[in-house]
Amino acid sequence: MNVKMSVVVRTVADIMVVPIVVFGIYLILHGHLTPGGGFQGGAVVASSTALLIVAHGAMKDNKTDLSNMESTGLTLFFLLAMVGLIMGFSLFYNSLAGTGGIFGGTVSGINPGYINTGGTIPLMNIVVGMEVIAALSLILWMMAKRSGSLEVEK
Amino acid sequence: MNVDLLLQSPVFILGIPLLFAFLTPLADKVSKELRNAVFIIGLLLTALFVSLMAYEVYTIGSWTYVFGAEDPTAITDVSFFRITFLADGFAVLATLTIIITAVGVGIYSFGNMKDFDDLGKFYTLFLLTLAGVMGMVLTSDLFNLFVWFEVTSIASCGLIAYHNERGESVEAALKYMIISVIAGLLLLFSIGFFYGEYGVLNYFLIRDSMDGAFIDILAIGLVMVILSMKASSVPMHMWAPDAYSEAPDSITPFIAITSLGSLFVLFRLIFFVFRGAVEPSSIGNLLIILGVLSMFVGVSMALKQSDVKRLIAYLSVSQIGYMMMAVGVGFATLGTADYGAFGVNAVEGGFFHMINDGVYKALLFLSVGGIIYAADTRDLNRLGGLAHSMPFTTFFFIIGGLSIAGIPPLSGFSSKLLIYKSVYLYNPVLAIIALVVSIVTLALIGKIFFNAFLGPDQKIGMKIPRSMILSMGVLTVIIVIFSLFPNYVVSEIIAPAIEALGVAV
Repeated sequence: MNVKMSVVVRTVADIMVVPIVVFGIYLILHGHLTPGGGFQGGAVVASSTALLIVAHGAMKDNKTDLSNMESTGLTLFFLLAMVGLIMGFSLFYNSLAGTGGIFGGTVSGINPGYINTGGTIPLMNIVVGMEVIAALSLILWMMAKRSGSLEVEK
Repeated sequence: MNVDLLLQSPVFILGIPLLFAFLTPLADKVSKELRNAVFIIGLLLTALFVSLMAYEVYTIGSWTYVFGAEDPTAITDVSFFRITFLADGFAVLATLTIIITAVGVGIYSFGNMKDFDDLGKFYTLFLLTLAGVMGMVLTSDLFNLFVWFEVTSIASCGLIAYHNERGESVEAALKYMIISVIAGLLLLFSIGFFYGEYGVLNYFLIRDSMDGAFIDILAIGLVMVILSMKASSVPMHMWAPDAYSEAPDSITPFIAITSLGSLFVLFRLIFFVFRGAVEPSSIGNLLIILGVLSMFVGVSMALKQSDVKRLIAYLSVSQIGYMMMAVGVGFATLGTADYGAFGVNAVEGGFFHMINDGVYKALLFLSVGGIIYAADTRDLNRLGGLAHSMPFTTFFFIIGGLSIAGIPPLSGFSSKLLIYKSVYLYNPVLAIIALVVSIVTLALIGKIFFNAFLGPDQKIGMKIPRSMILSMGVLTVIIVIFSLFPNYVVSEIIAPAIEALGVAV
């Protein structure tokens, strides 16, 4: 079954994927500073999967990779939550905040949006983003496959 | 700042299943053995932390665990706006009941499910359900309760639909999902009433500010209906027989445990939170009516079943009735002299019956699962002569069956005796109904026993895996312990639970 769209659609989709993914990653990384976060950014990135599936109608069989990515994201999220517990505080305690280093900085007053702040929150946003990208792509993949609008290349 | 690890145990009871739920699909990619190892380590670690919490509660006393706080065990006024967990005698009773069944079911799954593929997801759903039920019974925040309620519903719905090649399983799962979604949304609706009126969600604060206005009564009624619905009480039981009988054999007791978890939450809420704001006899009598209906309708519907698993499912609905009736009698007498005279015994009997029921129901469902595994049919008219080839399963079934019927040496008798004696003093009719239901239960167990196990050897039995025997053996040992020391169980586990609810005499 030929489910490919026209060459115009495919070319535009290929071009549009780049800004969509970049915007999604921006949302994930700035989750602790601006509206957005892991889930929203992940959903934006996963929408590029939808675009590609609709335009090309075919995709490599990467179900296993996606489901691995999903489980890894969730495991890492929970391990990050347990960092607080292991350091002697409670679960989800932000024990990295204010300790310096890559995500441990502090901010005060009006600032241009320093990304290396927030303790464990940006790290959690990143792993949640990873999980949401994988899970939503997997759902789209499965739905497209079941409805017959996707050819799977082995 | 270091907090004692023992005081962190409530969060580990929740966290370990969650972490291992996400680890199992990863381990599944490596090898089957690693996946099984990860799964059983997760279960046993949870059991370890349940026992650590029990030890801490019985030696030091109860405490509140505050999420995201620097010192989670130090309570301040501000911390009430955070999510809190309550570790007390009642939480220990509930988590113990859940974890005993979960470990039994977990070991059983190794043998029972070994012929199916994609088990990584199966174990993930199992551990997520475990985390959900544990969260439900440990939390002391109404909105958090809703979250765990939904986690449990979604995960157990996936478990029920596991055999999705069979239409009946999908139908049962769909029914369960519709019921759960309605229940979940109504729960959120009633939580909205409390939040709108008092602006707080914490059990303690709601208890202190509740004034028994009309809107409170409405919300309490909604919560009670929802939780009895999830506890599969008649007349909201229609999902239970389908879900119990169509879930994979190893999972059925675990679905039953989620019902028991809802019942624990219901009792926690009415005793701990709503007690001051309501007329005790109104809620008590409502519970008694629901209980008597469940007992009677459950056992009468069981009479006409020829599907062995469906029969046990209806018996389990009728057992829920005993607990509701007993606790209802206790609640109805609150605040009067009768409570000290027999009400507290009724509550003791009800709670004792809950922990007993969790274990013997699991044993019954699992031994029936063994029958189905060996003979590949559930039809009582086609089964027969299995005692020749399955001596162990026969023995386990007898233990579980006599316990559910309340035959003297076994644990079911001890709790039922407490219920009969105390309920008789409230209203003799209730005790008579309870006795009659017990007798019919015994007859039904006899029916299964004669049909499935006795008779000439039909050579249909095939050997069941050793892990299934092992898990049933573990549950049998626990039943025997409860049977030998019922007074010890009541004084060491049940009495602290009643004290934690603030209704000790």
